[in-house]
Amino acid sequence: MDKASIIAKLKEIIANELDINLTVEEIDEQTSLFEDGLGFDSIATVEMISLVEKHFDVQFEDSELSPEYFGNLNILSQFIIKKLEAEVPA
Amino acid sequence: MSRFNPDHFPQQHITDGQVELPLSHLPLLFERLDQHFSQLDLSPSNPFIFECLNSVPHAIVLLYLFDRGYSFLLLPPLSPPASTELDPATLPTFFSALLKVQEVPLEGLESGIDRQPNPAFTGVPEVLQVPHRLYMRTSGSTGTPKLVVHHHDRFFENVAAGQARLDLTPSDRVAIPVPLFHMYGLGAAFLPSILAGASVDLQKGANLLRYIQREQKFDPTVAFMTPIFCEMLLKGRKSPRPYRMTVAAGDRMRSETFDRYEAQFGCLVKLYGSTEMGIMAAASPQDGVDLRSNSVGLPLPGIRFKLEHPQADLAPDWEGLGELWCHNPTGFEGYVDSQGQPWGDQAWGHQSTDWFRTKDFGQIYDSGRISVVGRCDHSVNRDGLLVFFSDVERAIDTCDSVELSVVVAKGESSRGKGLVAYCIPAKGFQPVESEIRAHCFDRLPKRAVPDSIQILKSLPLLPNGKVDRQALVRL
Repeated sequence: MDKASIIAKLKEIIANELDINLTVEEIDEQTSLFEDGLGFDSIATVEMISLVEKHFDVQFEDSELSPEYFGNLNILSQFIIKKLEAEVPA
Repeated sequence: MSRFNPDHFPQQHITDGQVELPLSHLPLLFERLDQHFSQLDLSPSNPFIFECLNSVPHAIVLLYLFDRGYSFLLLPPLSPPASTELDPATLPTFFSALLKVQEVPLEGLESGIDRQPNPAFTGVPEVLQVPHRLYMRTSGSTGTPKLVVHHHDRFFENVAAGQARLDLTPSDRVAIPVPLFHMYGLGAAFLPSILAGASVDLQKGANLLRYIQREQKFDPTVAFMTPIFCEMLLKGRKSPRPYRMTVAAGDRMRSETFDRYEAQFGCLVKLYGSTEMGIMAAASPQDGVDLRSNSVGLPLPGIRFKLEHPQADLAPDWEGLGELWCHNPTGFEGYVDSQGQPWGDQAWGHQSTDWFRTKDFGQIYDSGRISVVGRCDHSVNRDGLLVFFSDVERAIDTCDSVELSVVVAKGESSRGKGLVAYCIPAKGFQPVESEIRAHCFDRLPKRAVPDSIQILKSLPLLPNGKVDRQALVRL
């Protein structure tokens, strides 16, 4: 899965599955997910984490639940790519 | 140093993730602040507003104000970065100044502390030109902004009793992701921890990801949380992480949440308090799990409860439910309005009744333990904040396709109690749930958006013509 399609998928998840009242067009991959951007609160953040795990079939560790990896969709998509690569059996 | 004795605790510190302050530096900082405050022309008996955030510089000033007996009103900052709904023009009029603190390095602490005139100031009533008062705002349901007046001495008796009940000690490391400008963050979490000589991690805003990041650095033994945030941690984190104790306040916690939290994160202690009363009751970490699960513990020493208006026709497990009234010698002195005039039937400066009506439903067990069921009036606690049904209804009723709406609490949701809105369509409209929800999102904070919206042809009515809310709850 390439980065552009991951970002597109993430936008779709946020617009269709998160209780946050945003449309795909309103979501920019460079915008922060939190108070200073899309306005995710803790509840939306928790849902987002579990939706990402479900849709991309990855598992985050506690140590990976860090604002650095969830800053915006651009950063998050890179992180998902890294996770997907790590999960492919050698 | 009258209130705080940091010399006893050479190893302990306050941090906010940016700045770290050894408690033992406080006396020296206080001396520096003495000089600065005399230049700012602020005196202990001239009340002012202190805009307080969860940061080390703010915490130093807060402790200083208590130590030197200043009278002040605690508010969240009126301007960004903290968002606030307060309009400076509507500030209480009897505080002459706003004390603002910038987050600067501690070497230059004074340079970040400034006073500005209160744009709404009209004068201080002479009786309020007294030191040793803490003012706090209440989220009153009437819409009338009123202020709660505490005397520092009695307030600190309550703080000390809270520290003893929670058994906070110098070996504790306490995470505080709840705001210092609320009674829970100030009187239950921060000040008892400081009195105990514990180390403290102050966090702005309970964001799950930031919390976990800070937890890894600070390694807390104790955390002060809201029930909602407990649920967030349960859902969001992956592995168990035992704390010596987690304190939870706010609305009642589901027993299922309690059990799961306890299994993952260890001893959970419920605490019951209010802006007026400070801490009224709290369980002790020494209590067994059953006692901690089904009550908010015993009243603090010297505090008594009684029940008024017992509710008769309720389910058996709510037997003995009534309105909780509290007698607390360490509670507030009374209310004033935004001009500083005595307000209501528990007005400041007036001989008033000794009993405080909490407006909560609860039970008093034979053991003396208190159980709190919820707010009496038409409101629910969501995300740790009150949501009034009337505010939600008003927002929905501005939707063209809705004739009338009624909101009730029903079930549970991830934000707290579930909120369901029943709507009658306006003539010629066929509203759909998603449209009304979008309308709500535009007008209401997220916590106030109903979890579910039901369209009804008509509302059930009581014989007196009022909407039968209980019938809606049973639908």
